[in-house]
Amino acid sequence: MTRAAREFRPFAPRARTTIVAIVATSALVLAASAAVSIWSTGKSRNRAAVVEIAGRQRTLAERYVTQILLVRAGAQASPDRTGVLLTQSVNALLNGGQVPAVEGDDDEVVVQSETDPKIRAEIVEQRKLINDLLATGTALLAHRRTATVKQTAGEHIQTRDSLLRLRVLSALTSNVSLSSAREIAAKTDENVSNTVKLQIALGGIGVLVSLLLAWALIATTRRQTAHFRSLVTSSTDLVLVLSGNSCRYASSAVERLTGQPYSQLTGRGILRVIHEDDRERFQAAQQGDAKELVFRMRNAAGDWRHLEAHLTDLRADRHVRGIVLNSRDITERVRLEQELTRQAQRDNFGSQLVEALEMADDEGSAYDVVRRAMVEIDEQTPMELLLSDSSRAHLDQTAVHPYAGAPSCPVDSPYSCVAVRRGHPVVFETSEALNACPKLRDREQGPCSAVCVPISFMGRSLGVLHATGPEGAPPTKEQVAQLTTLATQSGARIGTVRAFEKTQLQAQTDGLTGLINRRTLETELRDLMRTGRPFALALADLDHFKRLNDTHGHEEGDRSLRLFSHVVRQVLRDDDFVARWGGEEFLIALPDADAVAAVEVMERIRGNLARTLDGGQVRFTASFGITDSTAAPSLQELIQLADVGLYLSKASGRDRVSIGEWSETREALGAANGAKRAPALHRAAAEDEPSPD
Amino acid sequence: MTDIGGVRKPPVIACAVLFGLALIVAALFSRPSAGAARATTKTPSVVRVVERDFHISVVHGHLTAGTVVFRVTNRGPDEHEFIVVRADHGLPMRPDGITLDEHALEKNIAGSIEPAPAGQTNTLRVTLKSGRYALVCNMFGHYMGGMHAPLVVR
Repeated sequence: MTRAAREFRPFAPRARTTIVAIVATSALVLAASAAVSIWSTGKSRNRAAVVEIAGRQRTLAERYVTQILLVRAGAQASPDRTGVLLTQSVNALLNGGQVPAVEGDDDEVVVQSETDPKIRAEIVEQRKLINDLLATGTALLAHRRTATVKQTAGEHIQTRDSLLRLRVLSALTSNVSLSSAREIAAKTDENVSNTVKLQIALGGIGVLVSLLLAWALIATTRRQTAHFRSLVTSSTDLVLVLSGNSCRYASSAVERLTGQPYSQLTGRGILRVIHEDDRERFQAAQQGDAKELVFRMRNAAGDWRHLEAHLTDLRADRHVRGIVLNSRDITERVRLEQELTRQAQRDNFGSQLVEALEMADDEGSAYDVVRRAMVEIDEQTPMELLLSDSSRAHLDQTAVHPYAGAPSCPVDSPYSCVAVRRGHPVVFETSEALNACPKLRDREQGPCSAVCVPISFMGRSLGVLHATGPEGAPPTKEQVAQLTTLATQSGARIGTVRAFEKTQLQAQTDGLTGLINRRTLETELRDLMRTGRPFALALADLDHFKRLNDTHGHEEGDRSLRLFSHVVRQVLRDDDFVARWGGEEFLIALPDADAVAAVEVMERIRGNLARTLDGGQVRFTASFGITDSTAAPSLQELIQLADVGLYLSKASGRDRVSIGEWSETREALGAANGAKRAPALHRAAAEDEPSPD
Repeated sequence: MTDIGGVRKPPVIACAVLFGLALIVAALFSRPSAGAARATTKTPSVVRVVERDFHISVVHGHLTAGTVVFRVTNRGPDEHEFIVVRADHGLPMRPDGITLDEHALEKNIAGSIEPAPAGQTNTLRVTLKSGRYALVCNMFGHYMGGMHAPLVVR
């Protein structure tokens, strides 16, 4: 059967119970002693008077004989009175009561009845003898024969001499009185002796019980002390008692934590394990200037542990005489707090970065944000952002740390970078390690540490964010985390911008030729017209394009369109516009040019096209219609005029340049139809591909 | 396990011989026994005496000379002493006429027991020659009160 463990109650007031028991025992012993004293005193009360009366009986017996003799001799005496005194006295001794006074000798006194059987028997014997004495005395005075007086006390007086009989009875009475007096005195002495013995016994018992209880108190106190010692020594809380500039006590937990012996921790030695930056505050706390204190203490492994201490000023407490510093290890909590702080900083950095990148509407702005973020991460660490171009085959340095410069990684393609291949950040402690990236070696700045964070968007690698540091001291975990955030966010933003730009480009350009499309050009032309900037407009059309398609296939047709676009782009200036207007038609805008200048440019295009086609490709020609912004107030009319010019070129045999005029339009269309029929004519001419040639 | 030698029995005969020798030696060197001594000494007479107020009772009134042991019991209630005194020529009294003159009887007193309280029994061992003796209590008035008894030793 398993016995239940007794409850551990170190603060149970056992000592109080024991002290109460000691006090109660002492009180009990004192009370018993007092009771014995009272009882003994009560028993001994008037014992002296009793002894005196018992002894007085002897004198009275002798006096009685003397008075008998005096009376017989004719003198004045009162033997009867003496006989009464004898009788009353012996009765009082036996049964208690008032003992009469002997005139001129002593006073009346009240005595208690005798309780001792032996003494009572003696007193009874004495009373019998007194009776015999008085009877004999009375007979003697009455001149009667004393021998006939009955002897009631067992005496056997054989003499017939009455006076001698009287004297013998007096002697017996006297002797018995003396004997009883001695007995009473001896009994009183015995009572006193017994009382003293009892008092001694009670005192001894009291002392013994008190000693036992004191022993129990000591044992209890030791047990409680042991309990407290166990609690203190097994506690992980660190307890120091500080006094002045020294440490008076260090708990076992401090010894365990620091690995220092007790003697090294007390005195001023405690400061050796306190962090240098915390010593001033610790010493101030020693002077009672602080209630709470957070400081660092070096443990046995040499690491600094953060301790949170509560200080209690017990200098006025005579049991302590110092400041009690009760501390506990909060290193883990501090670490978590620091981690949370770093996390918050990371989150803050990340959120700020995201906001900044959201405001970057193009790659350049995004790179600018990246540069500022690099400074935010660290002002001294060289960093660079290497991104692939549209071909995804080459890495270009797109952003460099504005203050620390670029690490200048020689990697030239995304898949030459180990971080890109692995898809996660790579940290190199030293470029000299066997497993270090080979591109870190042989750099101008010598051996270094490095961090490479791949950048991707939608699962596709964009490049790498690269940072270097001194050899053996790579960027911290926090910096690596920030670099990772920067790589992630910047990759997402740049990827988004690129995707947007690509989409926008696709919306603005013609997919086949790469030229801007009709809508884009219209926008540009409206901008020119709104600003009043002069421009020339040319509408170009490949001659017999339908037949080229039918004869050589659509691929050759598409190639012809791309070739023509290329020739046009070669001739035009950078700020000129050319758009695929539809099918095999192209609209060309030449800012700051008039129709005459435009004719010259178109002729150059036509010539370049002819020379380009000399290489053996399928030959084709183009017709051009020209106008400029001075010819009409609206874009629609200008295009109609260019279309008229194109019609004229087509009508004139193709492969030429013509300026569109309103009059020619009317001539071509007839006055009745009006200018607004020009596009329709143009379409008719275009559709009539096979007929003229 | 094999008991090679077996259990050896104690040498019974040798022990018996030694025990016999020891008895002989003890008989030779021992002191004569008390029983033997008593066999040559006369057993003392024991006289039982009872004292009470005021009388002495003796169980044996006649004794032979020699050692006599008195076993005296005081039945009280008073204290009484016990004196064995030779009384061939009577017992002289003090001038008060009440108590014996013990000073005059000093040579005749064979032995005495000091006053003893009631209930106590004491023993007095004396050697008495042939003659008349008195057993008395000579406390004040006791002798005249009747506390005396004769004793004849033959």
